[in-house]
Amino acid sequence: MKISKDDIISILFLFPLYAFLAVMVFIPLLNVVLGSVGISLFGGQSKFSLEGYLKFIDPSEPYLYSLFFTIYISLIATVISVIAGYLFAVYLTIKKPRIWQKISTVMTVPLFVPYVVGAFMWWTLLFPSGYLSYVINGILMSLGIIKSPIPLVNDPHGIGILFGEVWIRFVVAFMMFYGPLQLVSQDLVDAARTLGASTWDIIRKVYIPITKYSIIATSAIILLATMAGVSIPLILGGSWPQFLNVMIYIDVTRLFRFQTAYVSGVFYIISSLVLGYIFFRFTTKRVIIQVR
Amino acid sequence: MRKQKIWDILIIGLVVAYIVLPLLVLVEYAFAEVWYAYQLFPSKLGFKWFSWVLENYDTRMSFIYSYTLAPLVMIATLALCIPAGYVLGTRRNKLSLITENLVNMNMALPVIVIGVGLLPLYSRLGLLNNYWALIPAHMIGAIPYTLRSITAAFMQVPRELEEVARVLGASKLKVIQKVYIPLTWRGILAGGVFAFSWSLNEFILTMLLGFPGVKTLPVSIYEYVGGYYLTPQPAAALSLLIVVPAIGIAAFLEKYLQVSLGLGGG
Repeated sequence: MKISKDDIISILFLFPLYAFLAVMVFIPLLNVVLGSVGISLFGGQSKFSLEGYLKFIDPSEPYLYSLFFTIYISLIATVISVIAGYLFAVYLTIKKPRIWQKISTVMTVPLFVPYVVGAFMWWTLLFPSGYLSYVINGILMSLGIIKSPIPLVNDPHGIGILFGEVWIRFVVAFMMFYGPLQLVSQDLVDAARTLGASTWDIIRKVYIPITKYSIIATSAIILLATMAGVSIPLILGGSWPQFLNVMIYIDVTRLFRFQTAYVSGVFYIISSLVLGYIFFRFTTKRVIIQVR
Repeated sequence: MRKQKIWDILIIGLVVAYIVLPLLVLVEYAFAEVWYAYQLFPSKLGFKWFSWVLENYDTRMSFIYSYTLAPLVMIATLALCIPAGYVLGTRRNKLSLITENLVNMNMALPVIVIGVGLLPLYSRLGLLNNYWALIPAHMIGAIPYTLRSITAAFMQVPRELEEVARVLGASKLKVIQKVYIPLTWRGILAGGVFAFSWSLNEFILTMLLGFPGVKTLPVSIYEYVGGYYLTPQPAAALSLLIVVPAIGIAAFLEKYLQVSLGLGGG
């Protein structure tokens, strides 16, 4: 096989990127995977053991519960964000309100606000003296649902995390749906209307089937982002239960339980690969269908 | 028709209020000089907390760290991504596709997992709490976005232009100077701005690898709200020092470079 001058240039130009990825991404990931079974890449005690995994699945340890809590809260945040984002995008697609053109850039604000700041903003609204805390607790108390104010942030039910996550993910979902929805042929919508379909029928029978791959891909990427983000659960979450990534942070910075942190890391690597695969597979499919 | 307009205003107004309300409260906290717990609104507004965060040694240093690290990360990321983006944008072969997939995979991986894997390596090399060692750490999240932007810019340059220039006797350097730079500078600039923004917002890797020696603005904000002090006013003032430039950058990207991308920073 003869290597051309073009190939040599390609290799030379790509080499620094590969070297960087190897040192800063792949070696650390390998360290996490090997570390989860007790093998250390960078010196120190190194002995194969499944102790980390046994601890992880031990119900008396916090990890398994943290994992369920992470998945549970992330799923709720994903469902709310995807439904709200989709409905808002459909609304704008069908009604095409003029006012939207003037203020659409407002929607990009959460995308450029650092997660730490976004979480802090919700903290100021939800802590016991925050405006939203007054309003929500006031309504619930006046309806007789609760007798005294309930904590809406740093709470054990993940309410604060949900508020913070949905604020960011709703916008991401909306933006990912809005583009594909604009590509749905207006003729199809008009034909459905002529045949007597209501707006709800058009959403169910026209928009959702055509954009289903977009819905699957968006849900996968939002679920992954919600499960993986640290700042929001760290600031808005309670002292217990914790998100699994917060447990990783606590394990390595306060408890120095590296092996269990690595095991939690392996869970995240697997989730990323599965959900990332779903995202890329369905975004590709979606593009092909739209091109046709 | 009128009924529809009312519905439009109601629905869009609700969504906009939902997006903007937290930001308004942040501004209110940042400017609240006197605000008693029993009051719904602050009784005195002013710039006290801004002067406080700029006079306080710790927060001043975090401001300096954040705004000096970001341009360094930008330069280093561009140095790595321009040659790679050139190859990915102009040669659509198997190697390019593999490289793109590897970089995309990096986007899907949680930063904390990479950070936890890096921790022993940094510790072994004595790089913890090291300002310079945070540059490559911040580049991890910035590279996928910057590379995408630069690759897209190079993809838009017609291959024939380079060939014509070469046929007419232009050297490789002249081709870069006269063909590629004029046609790709927007994409490169956008990529650089993404890297700058990413570094400014990066939180968890700085916490793992730089804290407590190097505290950037997001880390300082976390210190004020994450259970150490619970003092929202300085945290709000510090937050505005990141949010205002971040929104300015977003507006700049949208208006002049016609690109839009979210950068939350872990």
